[in-house]
Amino acid sequence: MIDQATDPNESQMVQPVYRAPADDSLLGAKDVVRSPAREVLRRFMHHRLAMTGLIVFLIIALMAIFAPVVTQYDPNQIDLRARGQSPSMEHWLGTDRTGRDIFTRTVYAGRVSLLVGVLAVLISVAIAIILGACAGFFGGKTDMIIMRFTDVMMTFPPVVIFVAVAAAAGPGLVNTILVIGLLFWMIPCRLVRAKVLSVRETEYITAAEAVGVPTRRIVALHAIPNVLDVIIVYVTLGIAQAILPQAGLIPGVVSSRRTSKLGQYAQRRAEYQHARI
Amino acid sequence: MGRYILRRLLIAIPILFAITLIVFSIQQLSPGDPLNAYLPPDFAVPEAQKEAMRKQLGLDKPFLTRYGYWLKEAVQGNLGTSIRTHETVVHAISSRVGATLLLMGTALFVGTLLGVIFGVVAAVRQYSILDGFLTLFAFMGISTPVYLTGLLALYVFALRLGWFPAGGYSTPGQPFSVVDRIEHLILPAAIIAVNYIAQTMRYTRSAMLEVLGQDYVRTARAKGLNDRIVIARHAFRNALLPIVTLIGASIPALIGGAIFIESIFGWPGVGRLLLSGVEARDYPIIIGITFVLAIVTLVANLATDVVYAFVDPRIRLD
Repeated sequence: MIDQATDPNESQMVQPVYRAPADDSLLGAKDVVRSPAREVLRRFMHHRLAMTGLIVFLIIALMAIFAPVVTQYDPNQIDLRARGQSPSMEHWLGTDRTGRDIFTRTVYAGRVSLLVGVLAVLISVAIAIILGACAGFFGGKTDMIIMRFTDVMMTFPPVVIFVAVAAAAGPGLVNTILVIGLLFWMIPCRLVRAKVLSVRETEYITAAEAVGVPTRRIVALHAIPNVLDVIIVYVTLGIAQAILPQAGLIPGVVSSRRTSKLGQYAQRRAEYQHARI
Repeated sequence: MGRYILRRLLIAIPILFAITLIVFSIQQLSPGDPLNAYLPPDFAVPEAQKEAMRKQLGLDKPFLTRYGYWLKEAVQGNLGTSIRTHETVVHAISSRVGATLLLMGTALFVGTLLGVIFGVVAAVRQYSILDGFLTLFAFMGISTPVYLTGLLALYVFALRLGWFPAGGYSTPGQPFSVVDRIEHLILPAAIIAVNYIAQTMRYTRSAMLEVLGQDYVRTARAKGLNDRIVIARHAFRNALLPIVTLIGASIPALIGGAIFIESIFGWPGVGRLLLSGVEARDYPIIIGITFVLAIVTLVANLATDVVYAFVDPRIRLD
């Protein structure tokens, strides 16, 4: 006990040293109160892993955007003299069975995959938030109608819909984004609704209602921000998952065969390895 | 609550009508002739004979007539016969549903259990090395396609190391044994479980993080309660909502199966049946599976909603 009392750190804690704010403001309030968005930004910038992740993502995104600058090859150029090569200085990841440069194809595939992943998740998350928040907040008939529609959508095996859409609307990038976006909002919607069902019963919502805040404002500014944790997890996992079903659900059916996507690429590689085994 | 459940069950009937009608129409829009799957591809069949076969299979009748006919039989428990194999759809599904249930049940159970444990640990030790490692594992699990991990696992664990059989449901020529079945089960179930672990872990972690910052958790700690009790009773119970939702949403997959893993591992389940059905435009099979899945989905979502009321007593559904 005596040791602890003489500990210099301990004594400092007992007697807080008053420090005047560095700038001229008397209260120093600017240093303490931040808007939630600024607080997120500040914490993100101070988190080393988060910044590393951001930099890696930016590198991949920039490589995809500036694909023609990054690589000298054409992703669809067949070179029969350079078939099935191992990685070398000319072909960083080697070549495939028709002599196309695999590094180039991966970079170009990243373009399509990033676009599909991000846009499809944006579509699905928008639907999930709007439908989930309305169903959870208003309850009753609204909930019944929205959630039974969600039930119906959850029922269809995606494979069946992929084939049908490819047949009816034709393949292509826009259709791929739309189909994935419109097929994967049901689970986040149920997650958002569950959370809103619970949030709706909290005191701050009752308080907001009591002082006459318009319902639309309550939903948008009080209910939805409190379900953001579920939405953030869905978005981070969803982008990865949205890239994969392009390949997972019958490659070449939905999007045209000429554009290569990372997912398709992975599957074709996998099949090739399988054949060799 | 009783009235709510009853109302949901009654509403389920028209919804099942709607679902089957929509799947029927989607089939109508899909390209391809079921006869092509029925006949050998290099076998020239005269058009007249094809016409006769269509008539025999009922494919010449108008769309709504066929739907009405299907519905009349379906309510009596007859979902038709497969165009490709002539097996009755009920038999095709019921003979495979056990294999799928075993595979998906194991994967879902292990995945949810480990996912919840990892998620709680990652939240309690936020930003620790363990949290970073688990996060990395989760994102690798989510981003790696199952057909890739499936083939890799087959190559490494079955072919190179020889620890497990390379796919299949049981060793041919041997009588059934539990050990043999488990040996066949481990690889495919583990690969599906990784996805469940990753997903459950991330949602559990974020829900726990939110709850751990609440005043009542601080109060419980301030009272001097054991940290374990605070986490298990005060925090975890309040983080259950997304976990229950995820489990409920995964229940249909218990019956529907996993298309790619079942195909790669030669697992005789419903997922593979559906894939071969889609490839062959085998309408009765596709519609039959969708119909069964629809029933399971509706019941699972109803059960989830009922469980909400127990997990969070504030929730009112009526």
